[in-house]
Amino acid sequence: MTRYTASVVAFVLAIVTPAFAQPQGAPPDKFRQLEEILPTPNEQRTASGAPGRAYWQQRADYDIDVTLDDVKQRITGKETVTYYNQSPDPLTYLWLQLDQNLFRKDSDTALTAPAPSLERPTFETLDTLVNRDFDGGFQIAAVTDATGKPLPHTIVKTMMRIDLAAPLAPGKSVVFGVAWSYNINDAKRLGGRSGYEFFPKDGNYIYEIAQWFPRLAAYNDVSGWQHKQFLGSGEFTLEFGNYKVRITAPNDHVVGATGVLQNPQAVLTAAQLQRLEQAKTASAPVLVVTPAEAKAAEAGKATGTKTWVFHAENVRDFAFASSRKFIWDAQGHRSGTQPVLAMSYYPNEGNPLWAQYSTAAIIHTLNLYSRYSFDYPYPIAISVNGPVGGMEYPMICFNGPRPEPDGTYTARTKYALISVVIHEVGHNYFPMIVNTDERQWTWMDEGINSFLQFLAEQEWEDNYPSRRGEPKNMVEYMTAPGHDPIMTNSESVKELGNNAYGKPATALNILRETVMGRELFDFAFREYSRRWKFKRPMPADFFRTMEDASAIDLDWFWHGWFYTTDHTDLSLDDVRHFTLNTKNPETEKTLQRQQQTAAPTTLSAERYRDTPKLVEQNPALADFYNRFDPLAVTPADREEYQKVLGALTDKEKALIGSNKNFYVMRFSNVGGLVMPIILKLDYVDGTSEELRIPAEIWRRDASKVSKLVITDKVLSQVTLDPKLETADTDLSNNFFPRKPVMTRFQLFKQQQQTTPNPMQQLERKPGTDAPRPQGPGQ
Amino acid sequence: MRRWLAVVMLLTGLVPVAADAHKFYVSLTTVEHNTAEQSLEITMRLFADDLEAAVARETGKPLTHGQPGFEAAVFAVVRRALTVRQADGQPLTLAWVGLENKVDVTWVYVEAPRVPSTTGFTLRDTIFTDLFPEQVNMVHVKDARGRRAIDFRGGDSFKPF
Repeated sequence: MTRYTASVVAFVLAIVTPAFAQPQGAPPDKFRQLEEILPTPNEQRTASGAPGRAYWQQRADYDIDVTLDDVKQRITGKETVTYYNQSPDPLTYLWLQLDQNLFRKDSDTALTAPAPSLERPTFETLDTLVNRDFDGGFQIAAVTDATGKPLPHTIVKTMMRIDLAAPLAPGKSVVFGVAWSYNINDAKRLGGRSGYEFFPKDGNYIYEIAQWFPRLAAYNDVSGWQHKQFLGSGEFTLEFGNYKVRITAPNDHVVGATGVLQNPQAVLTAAQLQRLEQAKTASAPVLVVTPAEAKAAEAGKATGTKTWVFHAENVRDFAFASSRKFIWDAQGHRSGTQPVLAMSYYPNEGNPLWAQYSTAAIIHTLNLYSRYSFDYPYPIAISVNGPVGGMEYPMICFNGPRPEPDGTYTARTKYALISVVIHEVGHNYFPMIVNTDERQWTWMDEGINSFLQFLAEQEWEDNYPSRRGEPKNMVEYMTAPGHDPIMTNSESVKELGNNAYGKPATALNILRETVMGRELFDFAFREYSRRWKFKRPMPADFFRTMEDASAIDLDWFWHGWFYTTDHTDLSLDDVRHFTLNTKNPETEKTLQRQQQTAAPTTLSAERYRDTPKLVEQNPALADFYNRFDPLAVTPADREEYQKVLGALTDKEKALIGSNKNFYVMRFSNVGGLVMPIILKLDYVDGTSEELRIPAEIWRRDASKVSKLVITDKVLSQVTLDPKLETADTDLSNNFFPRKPVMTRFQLFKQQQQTTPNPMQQLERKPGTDAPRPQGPGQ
Repeated sequence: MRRWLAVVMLLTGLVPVAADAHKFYVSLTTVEHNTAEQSLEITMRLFADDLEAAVARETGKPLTHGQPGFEAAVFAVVRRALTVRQADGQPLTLAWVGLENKVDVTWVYVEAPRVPSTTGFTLRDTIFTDLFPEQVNMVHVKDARGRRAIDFRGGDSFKPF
């Protein structure tokens, strides 16, 4: 290139002086390798991001009897736990999670809650605040060893330590028992991830029961005991194990749970048994319990109890739902070789939406998530409608959206239901199977899951109104000063929805569409899912695997998107147009004359143009210079040109005559986040093309770079990020020549002023101006 | 008063956010000073269901987007919740521009004309804090002095621009 610059005459078509803003964000080297931040690889976790040869995890098997008291809204249970110490460490004590203690009046959650507004509180708010009569939290009746002898235990807020009689050696297991009870929270009034809903109309309850038994805290190679207290936001991580659970409920209840029902003959009618069998091969949901049967049950009363027995293998938790109000539908599905029953439980209040969408959304989710990760390994996938807005457990999840009492519903409710079913069923994969730790890192399951949710929504129907995934939807959050990096603990994140769901989902979508490409991303992501299926990955394992499987250095991406609060704001500062000096006087002097003609005429020159001039009136005053045209081609010019040509080889002559356009584009990084530069080049002949430059263009200077583009055709417009794929927060510096970019407010206002509403359109007389829409009264 | 507040604090934490997005109580308001037009242009991004709950409270009856009276009720809710005070303490009069509904989100547009400068301004955004104890209202301000973020929780008073 340098060879040409010497013989090139630069003529600048257009230069603006850009307003350079200093990029924010500390690290000067945005491409510095992540190793200095990530934990050192070891025998448990390799440098490639896979489980190491000495990877281990604990196991806990549960055998539980539980009774649901529909009169007092109370759970009473006893469990026998077999805990397998598969770690290399002897354990002198065990830690169990007591999540229900969140509802104790003296819980840290209650004590540290910020003061609410007391200006115009609603009656509901006041009621929640003043009538604090709920007596929540576990009452631990007994902790015993395998022989029934009491074991010393200490309750620390939402955790319980059980002191073992002798240290539990590596490779050994211990059996112990716990008996407990607790009052179930009114989830509609007090919130929560589980609880009951009361229906005053018919006097019945729906129970969604979760985080309901003392559960072994995780013990792992990274955290030791993961017993960070439960404050409400950071959900949980647990150990895998097998469950045998016997649920005793009123005998007119329908119970759905994690696991396979072991005694259908004992709890279902002959007709229901037959419908359930029929559902396994059905191509549409089959009603196991019909709306009419549910209605009839609502009007009746229980005459006793029934015990439903469920077994679940290799799950990290167990939840269930119970009500006499439940309609129950089921449809068989196959995920790889695994037969799955997709099932929904909902009251008549959930229809018509639930019958139409819940089970269909479960199956859609299994299809899509399996394609991007692994076949669904469980025999059951359940969605339940009750008081909880959206919460996931293995094989079962709780989803809130419901139509209006009159059976109509808004588009918002419909899409909220489909989206939440996809989201919560999707959680089976992350974190119920890829067992990340939400107590520590919310994004590892919520972000990854929201990303896959976006993919599932996009394949549901055209223009599905996805809330999260599109880069442009993250712009407001990413420009908010003082927001948290994604790598922030769950309980400390200020805006959990944007931070741990929206931003990582967007980041992954950008990785897939813009940085890595779909093929490389999908391969690497599937590898991550496969490596950590039924294991417990940490952030470094994800970061490392995505690189390891793709050969794309992503350290700059993880740095920028996960560890900082930089945002994307790339600026196309200017574009300069160079052409080659052909040395041909005919060409070059014509060009110079064009430039001269194109140069602006000053005001004075314009006004004096027609004024009679002295030299014109008195020719005696004219001489050579009045006739001389410096841009006329002279014989000497032609001779010189022939000499130059004579010294050139044919190849050089062809290059000179190639007529290429050289565009030097300068970019600056205003937001601090380095990102690929995506350009749309529009030519004067009406054609256009796309140029995609990887983020590595910023590797030596992350604040200013330049790029040479050589074209045959002349450019008319250059646009940075034309398809809004990088979450660029300021589009006003994305065009050259500059184009005005309106804010959302200005766009809306302009649209309001130019578009009459439908009524105005109908009544508008031809030739009159559109009337300005009237706002509501002041 | 003090004693009553202490009672309040004990219980408000009992409503943890759910695993899905639907129960995050957050609004985002952009306040941009348009120096060319000398107006303060305000865009509020609100969850549509929260807004309908506020409207129902304002009017005493359920109203949804598109029904007569909905816009006027939204304006009343917004005027009560969002106050911008000038340097002399006088509140700006907000004018209604309009709203648009995007499935689960409603965008509300209001403006204050004749604002040559925002020096000394303060504001407060209490929208939905009377309905939800965990409500957080983020306000992004853009004016001649640059870009800033201010967040409001229930009970917060006026904060400088």
